[in-house]
Amino acid sequence: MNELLPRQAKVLKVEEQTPIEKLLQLDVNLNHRPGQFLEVSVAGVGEAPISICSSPTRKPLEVCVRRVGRVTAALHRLSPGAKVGIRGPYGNGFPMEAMKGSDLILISGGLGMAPLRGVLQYALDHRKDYGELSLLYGIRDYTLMLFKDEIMKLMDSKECRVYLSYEKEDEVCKNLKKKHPECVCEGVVTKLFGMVDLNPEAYAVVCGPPVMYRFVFKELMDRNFPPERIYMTMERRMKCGIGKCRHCVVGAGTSMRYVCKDGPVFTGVDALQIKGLIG
Amino acid sequence: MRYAKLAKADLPKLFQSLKSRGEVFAPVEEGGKVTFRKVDDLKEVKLEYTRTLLPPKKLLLPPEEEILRYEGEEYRESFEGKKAVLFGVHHCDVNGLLKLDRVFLDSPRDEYYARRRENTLVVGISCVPDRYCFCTSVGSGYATTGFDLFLHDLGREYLVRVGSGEGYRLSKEGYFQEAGKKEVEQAARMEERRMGKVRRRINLAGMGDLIETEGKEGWEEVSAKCLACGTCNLVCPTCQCYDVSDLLTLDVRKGSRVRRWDSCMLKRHALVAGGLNFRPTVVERTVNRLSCKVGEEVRCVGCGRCTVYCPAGIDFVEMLSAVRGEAR
Repeated sequence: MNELLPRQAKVLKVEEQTPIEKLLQLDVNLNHRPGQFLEVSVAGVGEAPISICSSPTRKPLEVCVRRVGRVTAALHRLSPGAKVGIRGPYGNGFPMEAMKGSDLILISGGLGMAPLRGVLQYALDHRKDYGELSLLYGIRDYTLMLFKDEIMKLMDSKECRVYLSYEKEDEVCKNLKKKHPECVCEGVVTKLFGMVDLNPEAYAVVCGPPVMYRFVFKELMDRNFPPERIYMTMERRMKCGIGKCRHCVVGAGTSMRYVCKDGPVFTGVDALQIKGLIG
Repeated sequence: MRYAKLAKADLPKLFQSLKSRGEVFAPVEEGGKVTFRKVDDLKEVKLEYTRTLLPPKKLLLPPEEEILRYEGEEYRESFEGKKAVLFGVHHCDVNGLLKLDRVFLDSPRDEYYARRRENTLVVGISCVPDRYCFCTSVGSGYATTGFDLFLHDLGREYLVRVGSGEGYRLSKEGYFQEAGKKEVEQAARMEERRMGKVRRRINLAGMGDLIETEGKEGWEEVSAKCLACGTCNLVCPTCQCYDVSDLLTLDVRKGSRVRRWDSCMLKRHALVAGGLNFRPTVVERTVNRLSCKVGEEVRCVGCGRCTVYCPAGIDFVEMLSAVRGEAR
């Protein structure tokens, strides 16, 4: 099998999530793990790694695409019925099986919510297999919040505790804070740690912009959270997705890893060992 | 290992036989440099040489190749499937191919590399070392596998080591003779003399840890002269990095996807869409390159090319000596 040959997938639905992010539903049947990614091609434009943002328990498969470059801009121009090329799923994904029986603390910032939504959906669909679910989500402002309806609904439910932080106050955020002062605050995502009771037997599942990791990691370590119970998914230039082109390589000296093949999910122990993994 | 003997006078016969198996690429002297290129006549081949400008890698992982074609949204794979012979490959370069094999044949394998490797016969030949070679201290001074035939110069004849089924069939052709203990001993002595000429040493003990703990100032000193041009990557027999782009025809309906060698020393190497660069400085890229070559495992084969062709005069061995804290 030629691993570099994409197969076709039809775009079923395109939905605007924020002014810069769109949700695409793809007609493809994959048995993926939350946290894995696809290499998505637009013919004539190119290929880019995109994380899957839906759980394998939900169909159809969804990807959330931020318009940042040529390929993502082309994906934003697509309409239902269009075809994209896909390769994958690639990467290790989150260890949903190993985390069974424990509380999950999902920590995300910005677009980092996309891969964590797969984890969240998976845990909600296997609700009895997991302990308490908490979601800590840091957004810039309400317009840039992803999966608004789903997360708002969760906020009012008992399925999952939702904590929200925002950097720029707008009307919606202001009202949310008024309504839920115990779980909404202004500031970056690490500010939410003050509101959460951190069970050291939980698992922390982290995804956010590259700059976020070292702050979240420090916060968790300062609270004596065990590093082997931290799972973080990384962004790098994963051009081939299969550990050949070497653009996504991280580390130095004795510890070199491919983010595409050995990751994109790494543990807190990896963060201590692999130089530069979290900056 | 199976051994055979080939009189030098019979080398043209072997060459003819190889030609019947595919296009032969061999070292040729051009403008003062030796390069692998297609040859039709053995007379063109430079049998005794030190190193080619580009390693034979270029025939298995071409500097640029089309991997896909598409019409509309449908992708089709592009394969050439040509048979080829790499004739006159040195020990270090055979070992370089083995290191590429570990990357590209490892699961999931790269079909383009894999098919070329399957379609390519490799005939090795002993080398003429110079003062830049340090293959013997990185374990690449002698090739024990990775070739179909390997020729060891014994003066009037070659001792031929047979490394594959196709090599075996070749060695059964009439102009080959049986070789025994005597020729193997002769070849071992010759190889000992040859390897003795590789004077340069590199000390890699604990190198990965040294690279990891070297301070910023140390790295700045080590990489001060670097122009970040990527020449070292292009001439390296084990550099694997490639980039991919889609090209369109003018009518926008058809196109192709091509991949090209990339270089980890170039600024864009770790740049992601949105403008974030994970290795923005020459220092970070130098650390990455050295880690890749000798940090975790020894991927360097000691061919000396990166030192010989560096336009800034950076010496790979001296660079690592500096990381070790030894005076240059």
